[in-house]
Amino acid sequence: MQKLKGDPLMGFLVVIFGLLFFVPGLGYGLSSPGNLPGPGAGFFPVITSGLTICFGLWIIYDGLKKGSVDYFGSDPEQRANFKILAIVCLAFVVFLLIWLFINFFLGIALLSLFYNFIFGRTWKFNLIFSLVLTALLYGVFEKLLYIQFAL
Amino acid sequence: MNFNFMKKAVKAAAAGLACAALVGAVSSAEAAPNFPRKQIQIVVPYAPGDASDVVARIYGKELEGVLGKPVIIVNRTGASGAIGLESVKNARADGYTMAYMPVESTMLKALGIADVSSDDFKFVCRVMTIPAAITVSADAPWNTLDEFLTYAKENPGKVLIGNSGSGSIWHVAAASLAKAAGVEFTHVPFDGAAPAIAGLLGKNITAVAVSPAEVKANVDAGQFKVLAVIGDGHSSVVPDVKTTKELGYDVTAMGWGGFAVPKDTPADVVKILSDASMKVAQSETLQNLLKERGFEYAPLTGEEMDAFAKDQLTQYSELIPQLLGSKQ
Amino acid sequence: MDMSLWWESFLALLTPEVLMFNVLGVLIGIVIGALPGLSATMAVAILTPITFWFAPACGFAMLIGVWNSAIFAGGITAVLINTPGTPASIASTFDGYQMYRQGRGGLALGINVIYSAFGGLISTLFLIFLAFPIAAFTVSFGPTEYFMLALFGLMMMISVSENNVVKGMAVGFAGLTLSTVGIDPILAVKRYTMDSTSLAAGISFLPVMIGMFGLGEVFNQIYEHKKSDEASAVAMIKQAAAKLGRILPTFKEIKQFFRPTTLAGVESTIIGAIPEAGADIASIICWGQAKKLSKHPEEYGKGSAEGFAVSCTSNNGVLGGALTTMLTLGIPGDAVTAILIGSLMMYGMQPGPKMFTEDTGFVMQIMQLMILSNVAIVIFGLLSAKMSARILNAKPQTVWVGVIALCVVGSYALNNSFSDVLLMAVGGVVGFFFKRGGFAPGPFILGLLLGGMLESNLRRALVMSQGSVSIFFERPVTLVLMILIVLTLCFSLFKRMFKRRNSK
Repeated sequence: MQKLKGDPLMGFLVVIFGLLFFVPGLGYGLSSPGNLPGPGAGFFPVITSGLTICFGLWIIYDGLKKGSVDYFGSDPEQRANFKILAIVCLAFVVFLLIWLFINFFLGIALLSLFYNFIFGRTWKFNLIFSLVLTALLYGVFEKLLYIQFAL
Repeated sequence: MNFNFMKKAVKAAAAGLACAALVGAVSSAEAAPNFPRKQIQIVVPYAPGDASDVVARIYGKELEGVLGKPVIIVNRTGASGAIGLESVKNARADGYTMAYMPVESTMLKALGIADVSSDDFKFVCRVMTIPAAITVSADAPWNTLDEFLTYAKENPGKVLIGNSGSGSIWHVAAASLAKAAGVEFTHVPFDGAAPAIAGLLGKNITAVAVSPAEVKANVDAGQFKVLAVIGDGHSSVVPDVKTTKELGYDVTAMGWGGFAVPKDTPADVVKILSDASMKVAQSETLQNLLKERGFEYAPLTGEEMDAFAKDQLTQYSELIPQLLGSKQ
Repeated sequence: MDMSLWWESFLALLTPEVLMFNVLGVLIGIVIGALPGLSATMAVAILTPITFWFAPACGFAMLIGVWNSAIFAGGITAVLINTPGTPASIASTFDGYQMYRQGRGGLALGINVIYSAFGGLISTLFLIFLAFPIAAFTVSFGPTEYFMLALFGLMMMISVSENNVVKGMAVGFAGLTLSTVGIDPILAVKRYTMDSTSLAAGISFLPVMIGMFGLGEVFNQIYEHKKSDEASAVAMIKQAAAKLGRILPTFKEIKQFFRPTTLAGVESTIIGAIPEAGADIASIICWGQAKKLSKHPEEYGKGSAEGFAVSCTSNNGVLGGALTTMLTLGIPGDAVTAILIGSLMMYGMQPGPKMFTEDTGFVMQIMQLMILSNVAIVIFGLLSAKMSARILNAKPQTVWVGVIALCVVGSYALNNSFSDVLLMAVGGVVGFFFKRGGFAPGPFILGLLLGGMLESNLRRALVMSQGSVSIFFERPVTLVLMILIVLTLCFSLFKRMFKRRNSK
């Protein structure tokens, strides 16, 4: 069988998502416990996840019928951008860790510096931008609005 | 040789004495801790502008005045208060993070919502109590609680009594009343007190059990009437209405609000906060606010509140499974 | 209406003090409203204690000013970075951002100003003349009506599915399913929470939206960015900058917009008067309705200035409706009015029917403050539109970093919650893959947003009727809404079938 790509793959993921909710949903009960009126906790999620599964299957069917479209293939330059995206996400995770364990403003300043760097900005712009950004965030959110970033 | 030994002994003694003095100095410095040295944070498990939030903000402002350091309010809503309370339970127990404690803190574990309860905290005070008001439309055919309950007895399940959410204190209060009176209500949970009140206004339900302050406007406008309050005493909002106890039903379930720190906070820090809270509780601003809002001014010290909360925790741990279980 | 009292109270408002507070409120509202994650509710809640130091008229001048302008300003970021500044501006992202991408961002900002004020003014008119009848109607709304309202909003899922209805429905139901995570609204049992308290609080809709629409869009732009395009992009920006003068709509456009926006204003006022139904659902319903009735429905969702104007009118139109409920019945129409009720109580007034007789003057002043605030919005909004339009000149890379930072801060600020930031990040990744896969994010967001309202009211109605479904057929308003929904559904399906036939 041809490798699942594009629409059928997406449809498949949708079906999996639906199942993840459908099965526990059945366990929550379709009718209320005892003599309480009305449907149970599982009623609504079972219906919605069931319909999600149905539509997911429909997507798979449509995808196989029409022939799948490759989502990421078209442009070689865009493929390279995928790597940049991955780096962006990784840096974001690092930022979250810095925030969690050290300090928010340090994290955001470093994030801004790093991002501007990989987007190819000049060092001068980078430093000024990061400084202004951190200062603004500090001023408006922590000082003015009393929103505490310390976790 | 004796001489050398003596010199050594004197040196050792001197060193030992110096150490002892140092330790003594340090511990006596600890005896009067430098608290607070920076800003204090009060986490309120409700939305900004909400009744409890307003009380917490005024309390915070007064506390700032007493302690001399900034006090800020942080709102963390969700899961009937569990999110906010858990964040304080897990915070550093250094006295710089406090929580506004609602009655729900004694109910969350019994409801199965989260593994946090008032046992995880040490109270510094209680500020107010909020009785439940059994309210019906002004043109309803019952004028006393007894008439209402008689009707409910003869029509099991027909009385639709709204509350601010399944498992909320108002739900528990109404269910307790039903149990004590031997009647069967149909409890209709709403997403908050306001939709429940709207439901009664629109005649979609028969009654509501929420706080007196929330129905005051409609009572004054002649749209509602309060048949009874469930609480320690009369409500200042509807002072002529009797409590359920006075009317012969042994029910006490009411809301309250206090402040607490994580339970491992050092005792001297707790004492400083407790004493400061008592001063705040006596402030006119706070008392006026509570009066305006229709809450009962009912201060308790930290220790009194610890005991009270333990009682409540026991009471609800037994009551809630019964109430929810009796439905099954 | 006592005209002399009206005049008297109005003149009492025209002091420099009151006007200054109003303007201050409007300006603060613009800043807070534009920042995603900071809502009008937050702004009002923070300012309320400060207002207690001042006279009621001044305090309310500021609060009403903030409220109106925060809702208006939410549209600014909806246009510029595809992320609504407040939940009320969800529908504004459908067309507003597309307009920006097509180089008509300045026009979008201008429309936002004018039509937001227009919506606010229409709803104030209704407040002034029809407060009591509207309130009497909407207060009778019970769970069955709310359910129908939510269902109606969900029907829009089909409208925002863009090209592929099957995919739209799939993610729409996925969104509905996701909305059930948390605590069951009727039985208070935990669902899908896996022992995490954060999940017990449910999947917060706004961080997901900020992630999918804001962060997701940035990811998408990073991916699609081609150095070869950069030169032509810079040229296009220079061109657009030259055309920047066009912020205001032309006469012809105003004429075209008049009917749909007026209708939207009326609808949103009524929806706003329904307790607990707010600007988010109002703007979605109004947008969907306008699309059905429009002469150019195919443009909606692709940068239709008309669609955008409708969304701006409808989110501000809610305010007058919410005030109607608050003033006449003393119950909050939405979160902000709940805070305002508290404020009034602090001033010694009691919102409700009594207020109309005992504090008539102040009630009139509130209405007049609404008018003043919307006028101020037009003035300051147009000024700020010119400024915000400058942002359109920024290099995409600058925007990327700025938006990422803003999304992080915004999603945290909502509830001081780190898990909301995580939700936002996941939403960003999901949004990116949605875009790549041709899945419209609209239906998913709608499902997540309305699922709670849909389910809780369905179950509540069944609790009240002791399990009998007939309750849905016994109430007239519910029946009317049901018929409307069925008609709408048939209409859309027939149209799609016709289109397929004709295109064969």
